[in-house]
Amino acid sequence: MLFNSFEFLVFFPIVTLVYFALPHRFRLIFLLLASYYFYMCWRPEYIVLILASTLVDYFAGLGMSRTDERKKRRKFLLMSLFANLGLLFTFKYFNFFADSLSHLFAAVRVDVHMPALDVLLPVGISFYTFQTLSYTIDVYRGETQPEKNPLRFALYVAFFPQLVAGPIERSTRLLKQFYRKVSFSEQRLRSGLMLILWGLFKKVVIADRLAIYVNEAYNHPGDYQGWPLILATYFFAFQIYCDFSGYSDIAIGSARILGFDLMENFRQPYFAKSISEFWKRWHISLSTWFRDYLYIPLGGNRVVKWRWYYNLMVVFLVSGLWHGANWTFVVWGALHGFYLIFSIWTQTARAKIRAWIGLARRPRLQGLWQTVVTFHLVLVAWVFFRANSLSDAMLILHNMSQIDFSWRGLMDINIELGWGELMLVMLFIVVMELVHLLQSSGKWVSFSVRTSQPLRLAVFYGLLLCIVFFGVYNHTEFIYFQF
Amino acid sequence: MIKLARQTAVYGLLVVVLYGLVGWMFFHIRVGDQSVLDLATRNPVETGGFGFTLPRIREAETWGEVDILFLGSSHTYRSFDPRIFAEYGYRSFNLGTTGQTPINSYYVLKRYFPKLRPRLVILDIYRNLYDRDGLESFYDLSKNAPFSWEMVAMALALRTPHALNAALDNFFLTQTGRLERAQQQPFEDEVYVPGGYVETHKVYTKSPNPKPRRIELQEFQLDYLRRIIDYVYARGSRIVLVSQPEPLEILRAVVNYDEIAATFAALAEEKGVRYFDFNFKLPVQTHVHFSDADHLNPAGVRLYNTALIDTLQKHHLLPTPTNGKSSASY
Repeated sequence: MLFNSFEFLVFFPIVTLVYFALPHRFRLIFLLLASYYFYMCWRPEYIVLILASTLVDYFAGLGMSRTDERKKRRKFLLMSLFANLGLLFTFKYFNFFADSLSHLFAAVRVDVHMPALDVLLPVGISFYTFQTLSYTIDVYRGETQPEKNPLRFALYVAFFPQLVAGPIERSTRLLKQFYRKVSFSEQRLRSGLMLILWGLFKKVVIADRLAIYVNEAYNHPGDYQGWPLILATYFFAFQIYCDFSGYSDIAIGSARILGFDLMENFRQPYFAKSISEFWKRWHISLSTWFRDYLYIPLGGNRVVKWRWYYNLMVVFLVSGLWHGANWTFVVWGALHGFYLIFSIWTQTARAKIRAWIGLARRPRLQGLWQTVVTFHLVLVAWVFFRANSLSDAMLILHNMSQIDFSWRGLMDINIELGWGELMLVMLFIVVMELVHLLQSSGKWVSFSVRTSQPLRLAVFYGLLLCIVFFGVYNHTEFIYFQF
Repeated sequence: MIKLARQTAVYGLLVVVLYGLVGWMFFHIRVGDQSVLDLATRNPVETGGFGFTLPRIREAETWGEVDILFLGSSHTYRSFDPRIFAEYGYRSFNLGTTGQTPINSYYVLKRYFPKLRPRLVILDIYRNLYDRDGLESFYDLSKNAPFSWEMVAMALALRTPHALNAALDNFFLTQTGRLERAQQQPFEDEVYVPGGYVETHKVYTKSPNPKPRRIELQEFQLDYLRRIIDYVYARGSRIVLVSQPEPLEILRAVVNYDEIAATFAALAEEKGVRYFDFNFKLPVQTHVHFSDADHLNPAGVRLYNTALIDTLQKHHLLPTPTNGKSSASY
């Protein structure tokens, strides 16, 4: 079930009404059943995977709590890792690795036939396996107590607002909230609804309209040169941001109405002044997951320099692979890893240059320059992320450089979207970025709660009407569902 | 809780009022040659444009009772010539419109059945339309047919704000009289024949080379096909399902053709109606009987319509002609 579907429009109010009408003791089981129904609307049989992951991690947690022996506790942890990563490998990576091995063998002229699995990638598998893995690792480390109530634990794994595309919640945050007795709050309803509308605005008004342009350019890269490909890449940067952060907003808003607080997943990432700052602002729940469960266990930055670089590169390669079983994602991750290593390596030199040209004395200008450079580095990496193959990505980069500077060349950018639509979508991007500016300056905080009612209603209706009139509704899935 | 319910009702009402007001504004503001409403909804259809829906719908309002009504997509309005049926004494009307899927046919039928009162409905089954959502046809109808409650019902059934916006546009088009004043644009090589048929004087000369594709029939469209059959039966008329012949190259590219044909045959059996698939049965030739890769030209139409009438006669499915063979006015 998509958040931007008619089904969700019916499903969510019903769930909310029934949830608050029920006595507290029945609410957990009701939310769990609603979450399973939500997931099964996509492909009912794949609920088995969630159930398997839930059972394995529930018993792994219980098992660890019954012994103090490190060796035995480790066995339970390994069981959880093996089960979850095994699921992930089978459904997401098996065919990719089999295919890559076939190519490798073919390159050395060895004829090996690798089997292929005829399976569909289960929606959200990367999200819920990572979420439940964080629980067993935390229990193993003694950072959280194992959950004894199987219903509560099952709901932690399958809580529908964040089940299929995050935010990837930690047990230390979300699981604890399932102990609270939640009462209906009008204030939560207001702010939750506003967030849902804001998320829908980003998704259906901006992302889905940009997708029309981006898909045309990126699916036929040989047909275009210069401006259309450049514009498509800028558009993709906003498309993926609006798509994914829009989803997160709807998830956070829905959970908020039901009385739960999900973590912030995006913090105006394109205002970042460096790549490391970008990763503190982009898909925060995943970045912190990798930081806590991969980067720090590898040694983080408390090691010799080459090892630090190695740790960074490993984390970004794995992060790339997490996003998709394709070499384009691996290269995307590697590029980000390279950016970070390069920025650390050149830190002193860059500071000297900034001082020499006088940029350091103008902090605002320096900040702007750093934001622009960071955004464009991210943009280059997005080319690999969005391209259908590595060869397409190279072709796009090459064709991008064939710029026609004539007036005719500039006027030739309206592919799939007419001038009116191009202007419209750019206007909406500007509006969004203005809101982001307000947010980053702190003026937006609790807008929905503190501001006067007429203004709040005006924003509410403005967003709603924008969604109804300017939304694009062609049943496009959220980009991050494929991960 | 009561206070909240009251607030929700008030806010809901306000949404409806604002929706109408803003829609009215967007209907009047133009960006280039489009209204903001069309631009936002991505509605590319023009009143009186491609497909001749405007004169067809105008005629349907006043055509009167018929023996046979044809329903379906461009396969319909380019494949059933009422003049040929008139030669056999049948008064007929072709109510095919661009991209008309079963969900659209159902509401078109509900709107025009009481006016045309056909004794036989011939519904063209074009499998490609069964994996579509029906919005394309709705856009076409909303730009060319006057506002009606069936239009609103169809918009709601399509379950997308695009359809609601198009229905709102349709309401304003009708109320402002723009629809009434609109004229059909001419198209080269195409002639609108009274009775709904569009005659195309072209012969297809290219070689179709479509990529192999699998068509997934949407359950909701099959469900609307069932509803159409029930609707016609409930009013004491007959319905027959047919598929017009297509170029062999096109048919061979549909990898699950047999599976699809079997689904339609099973559905017809389930509902007790006859389904005649003329594909692979008529001696049609791509470069003789077609005007493009999809549609028959007048030579193909004559071949097909004659074969269809023969088949229907053989199975005693044709009603007794109202006007008698010699005096039929189509």
